[in-house]
Amino acid sequence: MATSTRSRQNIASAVMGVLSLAGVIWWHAQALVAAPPAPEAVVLERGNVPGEWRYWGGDAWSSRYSPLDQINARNFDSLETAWQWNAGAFGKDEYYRTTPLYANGRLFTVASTRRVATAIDPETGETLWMWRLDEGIRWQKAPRQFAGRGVAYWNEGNEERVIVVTPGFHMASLDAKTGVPDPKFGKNGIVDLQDGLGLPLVPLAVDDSGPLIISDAAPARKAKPGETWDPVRKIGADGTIGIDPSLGQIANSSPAIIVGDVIVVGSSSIHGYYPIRVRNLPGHVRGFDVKTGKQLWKFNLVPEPGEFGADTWKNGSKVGDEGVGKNDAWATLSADPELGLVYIPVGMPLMDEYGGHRPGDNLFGNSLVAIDVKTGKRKWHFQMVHHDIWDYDTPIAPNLMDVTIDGRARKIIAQPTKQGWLYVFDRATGVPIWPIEEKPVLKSEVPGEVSAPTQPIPSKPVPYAQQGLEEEDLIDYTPAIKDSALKLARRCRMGPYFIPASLSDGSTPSGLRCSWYAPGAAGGVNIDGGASVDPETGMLYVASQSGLSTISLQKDPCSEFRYSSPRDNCGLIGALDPPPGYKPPSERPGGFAGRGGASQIGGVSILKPRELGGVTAYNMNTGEKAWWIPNGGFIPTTSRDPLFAGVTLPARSSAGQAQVITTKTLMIYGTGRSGGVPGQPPQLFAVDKATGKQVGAVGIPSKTTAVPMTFMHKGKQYIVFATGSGSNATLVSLRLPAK
Amino acid sequence: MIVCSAKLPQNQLWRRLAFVVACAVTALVPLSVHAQGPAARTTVDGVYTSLQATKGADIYAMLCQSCHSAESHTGAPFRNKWVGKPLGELFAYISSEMPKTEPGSLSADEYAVVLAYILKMNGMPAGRRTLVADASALDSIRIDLPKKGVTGGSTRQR
Repeated sequence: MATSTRSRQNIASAVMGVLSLAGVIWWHAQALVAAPPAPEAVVLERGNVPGEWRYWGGDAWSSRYSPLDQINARNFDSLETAWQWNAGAFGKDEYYRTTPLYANGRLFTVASTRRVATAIDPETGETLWMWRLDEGIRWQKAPRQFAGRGVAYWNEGNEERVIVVTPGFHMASLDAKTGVPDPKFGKNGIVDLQDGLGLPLVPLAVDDSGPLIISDAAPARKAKPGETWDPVRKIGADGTIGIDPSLGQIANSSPAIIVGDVIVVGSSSIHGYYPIRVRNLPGHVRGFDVKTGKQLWKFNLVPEPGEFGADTWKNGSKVGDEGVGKNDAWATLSADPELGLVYIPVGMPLMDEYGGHRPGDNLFGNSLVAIDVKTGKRKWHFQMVHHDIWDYDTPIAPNLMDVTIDGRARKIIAQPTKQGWLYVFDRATGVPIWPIEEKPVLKSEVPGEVSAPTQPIPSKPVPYAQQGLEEEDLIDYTPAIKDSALKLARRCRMGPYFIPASLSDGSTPSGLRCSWYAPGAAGGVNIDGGASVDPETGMLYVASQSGLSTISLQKDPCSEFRYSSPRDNCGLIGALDPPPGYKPPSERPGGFAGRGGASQIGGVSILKPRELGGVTAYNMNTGEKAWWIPNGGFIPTTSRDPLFAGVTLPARSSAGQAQVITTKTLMIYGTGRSGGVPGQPPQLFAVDKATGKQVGAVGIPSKTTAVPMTFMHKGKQYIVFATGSGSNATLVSLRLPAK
Repeated sequence: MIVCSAKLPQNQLWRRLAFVVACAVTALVPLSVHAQGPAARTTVDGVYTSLQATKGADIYAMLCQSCHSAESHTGAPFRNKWVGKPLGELFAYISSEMPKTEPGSLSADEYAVVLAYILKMNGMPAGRRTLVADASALDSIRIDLPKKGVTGGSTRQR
């Protein structure tokens, strides 16, 4: 990469700024670990040592599969807690999102809002080393201030590295044995990821001591000349440098993936719920040399003028152009080391539900992009949602599989999505395995919004979550019930899928104040759920949720956006001044604005219960749905409403996104933080992979909050998963009792 | 008062005395505010229990905090938007609109304890009454801040 002298100085000053601020802290206890075994003579499967878990998704293909079977249907119920590791000891967190890695005899994970990196003894749960970085204002105003989803691992001979990307957007390379930063990597083991983006770094300052408020309120700012730090009020300039916050915010929330000697790392933007400013930083993917930390390439997820796809931004695609921002690769990644391709699930452009400031299809938003890991060049891409106005980020690492379709061996890639479809491609060429047809969709009625006239709709497999709302979707147990459901349904805009939002004041031609929203902003599939596969049989198991809510827009007088979600930013740092005499509108859902409750009569959803959400199994050799199970069980439905008198109401499927992995003989899942049957104790379930029949269940201390992982250590198979939130964030380890 | 019918501690004299005093004070408060009008009970009168706030804190960290830091629900943002309004309106808003990604997905009792935690974050005291999970019942309580105000929150600084 051609780095200018100026940016080299910036790298140096950035790292020095951070280092001098409070120093890099680590400690290690090398003596606690037995010497690692001799360099492995093991053949890697999909980049992983069989029985280990070297990638967030188990292997480079994100199979989330382990060939182990010491834990099986006969003994699953007897699993015991081997140890619990208290991540809360390292500081507070939100819900604990990590999936640890197991490599060469150690577990590696992240903890706390500082994203502390640690190694853990897999047998005892003892902490072997920890490393943290004090990032000052860069951390304080980070848009993704949580522990993150994990780390990346690399080894060559006896050299082993753990790569962690911090909330303040630094990347560290740590010796996996000791946690000591690799002095040959970047500057003293650290690369400043806000550098290398072609934007100058400036001294930062803050006017308040709190974090960023969603989406972009109370940001940091460029420091004034000579500005210093007030340690009492915790405001001012603390010596940290970064990209000028007036251009936007950028950080990271998911681990990098390492292919060969190249670290591939994406970025994460602000939430797009209620932003104030119509400009923010665009996302990108970069490759770095794992040994030196040198930036090898950068791929722009909002194409710059002259690059392929720039014409899908009709108002311009440069940093600072109105409407430009986001399209971030915030989710986990997958790769095919043999093809030398890394697969990037890309999030949506700026502002979740209104795209009037960014006319066009907005490549590479909502796309799956295959990038050559050596050159950083695009091999192929597929945009799954044009001009997204539904918050349909591509939310999780795609699953790679080798299957046989119509008698022919195929290398495929399957992308689970928020919008409830699995998109399946030839992973070398990007050609859809089953036809994906552009179909006309409803047009937005919102002023200034030019919604995409068509969206690509997969012909196969069938969706795993409710699509839109049509008459045939409504409960019809009696004619009166059907009438009532239809009357309610017609109060919001209906359609088969991709229904654009309505204005909450009913001022559009239809007069409707809401649109039906299914799947909603959290999917379908989201990062909490996603799919695991069975590479031996070609089965794929998608964990998702299915439901119905509504979507509306209104003007936030304190935001630059013409329309926003119904809310205002008034009074927050960075917000526009409200017009004189402005009073926030009543928040009481005026008879019918409620999102969740709006779809119910007497506590009963107007949506017919169907085999959607939960876990759906697909045979990827045929594209057919094989079986379906709810996420933990069924919930009885009752109502006191006389409309339902004398009607036996079918039970509904439990909510939330399950967290699935597969082993040699089982599909194992936790219910996720909002799943399971209310009142039932938290459990981990084991399921027969061929039929979906539950073959085991074991009580766990609290619900899983991230995808579990499994590995073999000293002859014992373990299952480890994250649970809890706040200061209760914990890793729980299960194993079979000693004989 | 309803609060005084609770079972008295049997063993410790000092606790019994404290209880009687607390009871008397509690009894006086409604008397004084009743004189101002029928809807005069406010969120500074101990309208939730500390157990509710503790439960609410766990749910908040698990399901709310990734979008809503304490700063977005205290100080000026809270004051500007909610003070003076009926508590039922805040309850109805949260329970129909949140979480943004899965609105309406919590039980009514879960929404009530989250609301209790939001009140606690804003410095409103816990009391002996349980916050009921019913918007119309909560309409009789007005949202008000403790007199000394609440510190914190990323408010606009001029």
